[in-house]
Amino acid sequence: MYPDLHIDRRQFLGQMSLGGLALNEMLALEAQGALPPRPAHHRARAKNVIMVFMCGGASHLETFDHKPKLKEWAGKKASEIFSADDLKGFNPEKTVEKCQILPPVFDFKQHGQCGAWVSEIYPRLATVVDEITFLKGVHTDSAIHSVGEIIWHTGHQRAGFPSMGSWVTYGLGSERADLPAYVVMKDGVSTAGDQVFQQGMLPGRHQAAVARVEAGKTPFPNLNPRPGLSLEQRRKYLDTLNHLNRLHRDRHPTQPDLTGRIEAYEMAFRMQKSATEVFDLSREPQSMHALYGGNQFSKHCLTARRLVENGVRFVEILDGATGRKWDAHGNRGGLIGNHRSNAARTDQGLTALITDLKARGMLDETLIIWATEFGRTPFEEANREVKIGRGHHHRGFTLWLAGGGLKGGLSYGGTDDLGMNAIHNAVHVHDIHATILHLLGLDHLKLTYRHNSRDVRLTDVFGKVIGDIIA
Amino acid sequence: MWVLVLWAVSLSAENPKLWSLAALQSPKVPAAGDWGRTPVDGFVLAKLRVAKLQPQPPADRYTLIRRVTLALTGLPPTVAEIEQFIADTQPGAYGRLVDRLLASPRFGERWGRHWLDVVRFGESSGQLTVNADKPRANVWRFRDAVIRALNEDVPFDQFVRFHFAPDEKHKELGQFIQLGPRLQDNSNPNDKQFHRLDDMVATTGTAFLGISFGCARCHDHPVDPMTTEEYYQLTATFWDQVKEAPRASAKTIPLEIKEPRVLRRGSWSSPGAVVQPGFIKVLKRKEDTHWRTGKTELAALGDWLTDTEHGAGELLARVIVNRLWHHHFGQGLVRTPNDFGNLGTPPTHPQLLDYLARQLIEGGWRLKPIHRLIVTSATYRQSGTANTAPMKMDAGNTLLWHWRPNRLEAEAIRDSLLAVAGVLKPELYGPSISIGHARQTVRDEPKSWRRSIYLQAHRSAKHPTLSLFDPPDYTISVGARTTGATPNGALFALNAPLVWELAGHLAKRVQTEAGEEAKAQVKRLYLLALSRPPRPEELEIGLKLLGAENPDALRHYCHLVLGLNEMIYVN
Repeated sequence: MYPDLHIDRRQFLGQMSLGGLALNEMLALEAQGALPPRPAHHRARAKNVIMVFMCGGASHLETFDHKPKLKEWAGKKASEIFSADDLKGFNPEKTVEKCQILPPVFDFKQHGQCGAWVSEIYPRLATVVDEITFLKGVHTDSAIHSVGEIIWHTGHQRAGFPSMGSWVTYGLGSERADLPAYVVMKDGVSTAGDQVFQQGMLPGRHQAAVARVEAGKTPFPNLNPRPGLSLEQRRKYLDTLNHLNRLHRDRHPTQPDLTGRIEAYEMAFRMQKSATEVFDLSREPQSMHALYGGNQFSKHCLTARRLVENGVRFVEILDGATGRKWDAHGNRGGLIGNHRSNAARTDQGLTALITDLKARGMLDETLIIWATEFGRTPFEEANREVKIGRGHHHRGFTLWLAGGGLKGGLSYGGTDDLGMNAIHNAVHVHDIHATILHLLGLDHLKLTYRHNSRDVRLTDVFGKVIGDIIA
Repeated sequence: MWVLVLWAVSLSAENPKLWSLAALQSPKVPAAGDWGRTPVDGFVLAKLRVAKLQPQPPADRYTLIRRVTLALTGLPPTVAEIEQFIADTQPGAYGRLVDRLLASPRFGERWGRHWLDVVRFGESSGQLTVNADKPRANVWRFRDAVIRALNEDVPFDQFVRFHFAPDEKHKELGQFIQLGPRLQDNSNPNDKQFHRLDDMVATTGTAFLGISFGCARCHDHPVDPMTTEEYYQLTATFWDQVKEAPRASAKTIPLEIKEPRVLRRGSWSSPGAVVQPGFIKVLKRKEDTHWRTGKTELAALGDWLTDTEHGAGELLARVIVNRLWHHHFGQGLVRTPNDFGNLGTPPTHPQLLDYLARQLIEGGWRLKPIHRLIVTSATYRQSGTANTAPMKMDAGNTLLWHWRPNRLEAEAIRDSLLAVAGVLKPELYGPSISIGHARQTVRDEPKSWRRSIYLQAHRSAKHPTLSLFDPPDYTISVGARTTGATPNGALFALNAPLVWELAGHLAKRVQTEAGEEAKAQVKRLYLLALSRPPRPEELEIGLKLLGAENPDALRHYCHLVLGLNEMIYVN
C-alpha cells in the first residue's frame, strides 16, 4: 500500500486528500523522522501496545494450560503415545522419542468470574483474569529459540524483516514528535539479539529506540548535553545552527529533508527534556511504586505505562533475556525453580500494569500482549542432568492479550489432553499478528512495503484475524 | 496454472513483455545545444523541453569540487585541492579534476562500499543466534579485492565473471558465492542447505540482473520473468558450492535431497523432478550448452551473465550503469536499482539508460569512462535552485531540471567528520577493525579512525556512529539505502562525545593553519568543513561566536559547523 521510496511516498501523498494536515506540513514532519499520525484502515479498537516478551519459552503446562491427564500418563515414553509425525519438527538437534511424560509441577486453580485456570506461580495475575484473553491453542514454526523469537517479532524465519513495533509505527505513525514511537526496554540480549526489534527494510525512523531504565542515567545515548553550557547557551547554539541551516535550506528548497533535519534538531532538543522526564520514575508517587514493585521488570512495566500515557505507540519489554531465563531445561536450574522465580519476578508488574491502566481508563485503548517464543514439551528431557526440565515446544502453547477491543475473561482454543498439539481453535503466530494489527485499525493484507520485488507483510503470505476474541 | 504457463511462454527472448528484457537500443543522441557537454545532456534536455522546463547553469567551482570529490572519493576535498582547482583557469580544469579523482585510490574505497551493499557483504556468519554470529576471518580480502579491481578499472564483465570463476590475481572475488548468512548450527541441515542455495541464487539475480528470484522458489509467479523450474535450475548451478554437513549441532540428520531437484512449495520435504543446471529462458538466445560446454557450472554462469550477444549481458549493463547513476544523482534512471522486474519502476530516460549501457559495452566494460561521462555532463554540473515553480511539474526532479542536494551515506558522513577534523588515518586495505559483538559494542575510538569501509561489517553488532545514519542490511543485497533525518542523528551531532572530541581536533587545526585572527579562522573553517568561503552573513555570525567570552569559543563554533546540514547534504 505504501510505496517504498521516500519520493514515491511524497508523490503518493500529493495525490491523496490529506484531511487536516497540509502536504508540506506532513512532508516536513515525516522528513524530520517524526511519524505523523496516519489514518487507520478501519476503526481502531486500541491506540497503543505494550508487549511483554518472555525470553526462553515459558511453559504453558506450568502457567495457564491445565492438563491433569498428564498425571495418568506420567513416565510413559513419548514414542508410546505420539506418532512419529507428532514427534517431528522439534528442535532438530534433540531426540525426543524416549522422553517420559512429565505431569505439571505446579497446582492449578480456576479464577475470576470466567474461571480461567492459572497455576500457583501467578497468584496476583490470577486476580485479574477477567481482563485477560488467553490464547491456548497457539502454534509456531520452530522450536529453536532464535528462530522462534524472530518469527514472533517479524513473522519471518530469517532476520532482516521489520518487527511488529516497526510495522505498527509505519502503519499508524505517532502522536508525539519529541519521543520515539517504538521503545524497547530489556534486561539483556535475547538469543537472536537486537535483530528481533529492528526495522528491517522500513526506513530508519521506524527503528526501535532501546532505552536504559536506570535511576540517574539517560534512557538513550547522546541525550546528555555536552558539558559546560547552560540551557540558555544551548538554546542560543541551536538557534544559530537553525538559522544557518535555514539559510542553506532557502537556497535549496526543493529538498524537503533539509527542513526535516532542522525539525529533527528541534525534536532532539526537546527530547533531551521530554525523554528524560518520561523515564524519570521518581515523578511517580509512592503508591505507584508500591503497586508495581521494585525490581527491574516492575520498573519496566511502570515506565511502559508512562510511555503509552505520553503517546508512545509501541512499547516492548524483553524479559529474562540474559541467559534465556524462561528456558527451563534440567541443566538450566530446572523447571520448578526456574518458573517459580520468573513468575514471582513478573507477577506484580504485570498485574499492576493491568490494574493501573484500567483505573486510569486507559486499558480500553491499550493492547497488552504477553508472549514467548514457544511453550514446553509435555515430556521431560531425555537426559535429565540435574533437575526436572522440559524441552522446546512449538506445536501448542499459550499466550495472552488484554485490553483494547478484546472480549476479556476468555480462554480461546486449546491443546489436546496432554498439552501437545493445538487442536481446538488453533491459531498460528501469523493469526495473532493479523489480530493485533486489526485491533489497531490496520488490515494486515494492506500493510505492505515494497522491497526487492516483493510486497512484504508482517504476516508474510499468511494470517487470519481471530474474530472470536474481539468484542 | 495454464495462464501462468502461457504467460511464461509468451515471455521469450524474441518477444519480451518486460522493458528490461528487450534488446538494447542504439539511440541517436539528441542535440543539446550550447548547454550540453556530454551526450548525456542531449537525452536529458530532450525530456526537459517536452516538459517545458529549463536546466540550471553550472554550479560554482567550490560547489563542483566538493560535489564531485565526495561523489568519487567519499571525502571532502582538501584546502590545497580546492585552491589548486580555483586557481586553474586553463580550459579543461574540471575534466582534469575528474581524471585526478578517478585515479585516486580513494575512488575504490568509495565505490567499493557501494558494491559491497549490492553483494550482501558481511563479515560474520549471520547466524540468527547472536552468540554464534562470529566474525569470519578472511572476508576482508574480498573487500580489498573489490577496492583494487575498481581502482584498476577491471572491465565490469570480467569483474562479474571473477565473482564466479576468478583468476589467480582476483581469486578473493570468488568469495562472493559464500558471503551470505548461515542458519544456526542446530537447524536441520536440509534447511541449511537450501537457505544457502537460495541466498546464492537470490543475490546473483538481484545484484547482477536486478531481478528477484524470491517468489519463484515456491511457485510460478506472474511478476517474475522465470518459472519455478528455472529457479531450481539455478540452484543446480550452485549445487557443488554447498557442502552442508548432515548435522544439527551434534546430532546426525541425513540430507534428504541428494541431487538438484525442483522443490514443490519450496520445501525439501516435497521434492519434485530432477533438474540440470540452466539459465533463464527469457535471457538466452542459445541452448545452455553454448555456455556450459567444457566449463565449470559457475564459469558458465559468469559467461552467460556477461554475454551481450546471446545471454544476459545487455541487462547486466543496464543494471550497472543505473547503479552508477543512482549514486551520482541520489536516484537512478530506474528508481529501483535492485528491481528491473514488473514490480520495479520503469526508467525515466530509457534511451539514456540504453545509451550508457551501450557505451559501457562498446568501451570494453570499463566503468571509469562512464563515471566520467556522467560527472562531466552539464546535467551533473547544474546548480541547485531556489526557484520552486518547476516543482509543480516535477517535484521529484526525475527530469533532472536542477541539482537537488542528497544526503551522504553513513560511511561518508563518518569519514567526512574524521577527515575535516584532520584525524582520518589514510591507510588502505587490510584486516577489518572489530566493532565488538551484539553484547558489547565498542566506542568509536581513535584507533578505529580509518575509513568506515574498514570497520568490520558485523551482522549483529551495531557501530555507534554508522548505526545512526541508515547503514545497509549486511545479509541481503541492498540497491538503495534509506536516508532521512532522525532525532538520533541530531542528538549525535548535538551531544555525542565523539563530535565534541572531533570539534576539539578541528579547532586546533584551524588555529594551526589560520593563526589567531578570527576572520582567518572562520574562512579556514569553512574551507575545511564546507569546501567554500563563508558568505558575508555567515562570516559575521562566525565572528560573533568567536568573540564570545568563552575559552572554548572556537571549539564550540567548530562543533556547530560540523552539525550543519551542509556537512552531510551535498550541494
